[in-house]
Amino acid sequence: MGALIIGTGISTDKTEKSSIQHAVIAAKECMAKAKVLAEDVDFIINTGIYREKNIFEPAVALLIQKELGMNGDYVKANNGKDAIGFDLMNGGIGALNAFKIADSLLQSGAVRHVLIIGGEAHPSGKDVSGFPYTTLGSAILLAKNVDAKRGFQGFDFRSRQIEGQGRIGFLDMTNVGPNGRDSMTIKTHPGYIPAAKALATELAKEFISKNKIKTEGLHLIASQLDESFGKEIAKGLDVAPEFALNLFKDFGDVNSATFGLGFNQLQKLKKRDAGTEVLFLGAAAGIDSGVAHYIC
Amino acid sequence: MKARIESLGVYLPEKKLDMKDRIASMQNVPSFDLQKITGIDQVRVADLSHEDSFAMAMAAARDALSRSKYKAEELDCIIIGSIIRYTNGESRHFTFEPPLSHSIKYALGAPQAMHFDVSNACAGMFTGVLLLERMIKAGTIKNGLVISGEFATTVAETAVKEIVDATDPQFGSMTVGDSAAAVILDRAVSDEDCIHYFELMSCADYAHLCLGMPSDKSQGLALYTINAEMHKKDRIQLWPRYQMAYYEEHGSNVEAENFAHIIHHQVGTRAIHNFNKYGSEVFGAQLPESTLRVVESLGNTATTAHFVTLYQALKSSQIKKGEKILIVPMASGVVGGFLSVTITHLEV
Repeated sequence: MGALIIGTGISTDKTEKSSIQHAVIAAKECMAKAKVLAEDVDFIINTGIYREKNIFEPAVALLIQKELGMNGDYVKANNGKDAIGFDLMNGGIGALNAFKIADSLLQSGAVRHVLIIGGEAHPSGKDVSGFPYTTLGSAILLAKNVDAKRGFQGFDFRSRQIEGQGRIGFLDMTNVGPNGRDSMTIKTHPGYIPAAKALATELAKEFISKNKIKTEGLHLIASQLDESFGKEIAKGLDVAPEFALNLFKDFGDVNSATFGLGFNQLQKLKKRDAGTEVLFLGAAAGIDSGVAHYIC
Repeated sequence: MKARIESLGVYLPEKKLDMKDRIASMQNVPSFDLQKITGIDQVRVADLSHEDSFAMAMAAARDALSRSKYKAEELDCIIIGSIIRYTNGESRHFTFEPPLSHSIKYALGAPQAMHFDVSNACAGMFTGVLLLERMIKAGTIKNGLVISGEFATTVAETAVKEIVDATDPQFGSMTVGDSAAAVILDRAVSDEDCIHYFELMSCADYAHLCLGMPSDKSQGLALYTINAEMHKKDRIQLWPRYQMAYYEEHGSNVEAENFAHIIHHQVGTRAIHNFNKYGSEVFGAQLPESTLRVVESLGNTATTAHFVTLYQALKSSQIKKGEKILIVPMASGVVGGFLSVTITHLEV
């Protein structure tokens, strides 16, 4: 299919509390590794949902785009190259939506590179008790794929309704007073994680069966809603424990940054040889699940 | 393969607010005539007891579906493009997680649809349309629905309280009105009804010219815009220069395209006049005389502005069957572009 991952980058400095700065650091590392210039990126998709000061305009992607020097001013650059950035908000499966979009965009030939960024930060820029996500950044760069045996092989998404939508994150605009830039209310229903796990397992099982994917040697990069989330899903899918990436141990739940971070870690572990098969499996509030099959 | 606008829906809150009354309610009434500068006489204001972002988006989506050949359960993708995502009525919950599109698709009866929210200032709906158009052209989806339920007047509530003097960056917030719009796209079957081309870009050097975030002075959302910079000639002319470059590559020009109408972002009557003037200077040709507008009676409705304008022009038969329209997105960021569309069978 259309898209091939040609680079990843991460930003994990715990003293950095800005989602924008994490994204910029991760994207710069990603672009440098892939040897792609800023002017050659056509789409910048930010999948992070929690951002500093609860900025709602412009898209945070554009604040990142500015720092990366991508299409600052189309007329001044005078090179015939353009770019568009936007925020895609869908929590732990936002990057999977972005992969599917990139896969379509890159088929056209008019699009050269798509940069997908993820990462959450509490709006206050501080460590706040009860905020369920670790603040870091990840970036993935996708380019056009010409080999049908490589790249993304398929996608699927599934939703379900459960009590309280599993988890809700909102700015309570009748109770924040003048502190709206620092506030965020997050409520997690006790049934969220088991329901998300069940939905992700159900979707992945059917996807594996339908697409005749061999689980032997299949690497699993899954959302990590808690310590056992990835492990139990791997068990349910007959994926060997050593092939299920345990991101939670070192990073906690990184939500929208999961897949960029996970693919980056696979490379660090030298598990990304040509032909290596990867299953990206996401879980999100709502509840939602998404899955993608990828061949390195 | 091309995509087309298959159906279009709009929802406007019943409550009307005269601009002179909004101005009169300001803590510090300006010495200049804001109504005259903007050309806005009236805006619509949502009643949060039954018209939050979710409810308005639902109403617009149902309106679009009522004239579509598709039922909700046949939609492949649903995208919400609102800037302000208020749920829970008067409780004013600005929702970040899960996306509004999740609850919308269930309420519409479309659980099978892939869904996500897009945030891209006033270009949120256009970004959704761009993604659907590209995915339809790639053959990865057959159709999709983009919706926005825009409770924009929340920033006007803050502006009325907080504007201090004539240089205040919240003046732009005085122009906004509430509304919702929904558009269904699918594969075009002929050039009589199709999106001929659509390009969108963001020039991020100007990303800080308009920032929206909660106020730190009072409880409310605020929008801080450096209007003089945002609407500078050079910024506006990013669009025609971008469109000219497209024509140079594809062998056409704005005259040959024979557009019957043009729709700009509905920010004010003078601003729309300037958009045409600055555009014509770059094109070296007159843009269509028919500049469609709703700004006088609805104000700047943010993400929905162009779609509400298109809807009203179809409703009032300003647009005749088979006419080609140039739609010019513009948004904070700055985002700009051009969409060429012919409409023949679209009914509203």
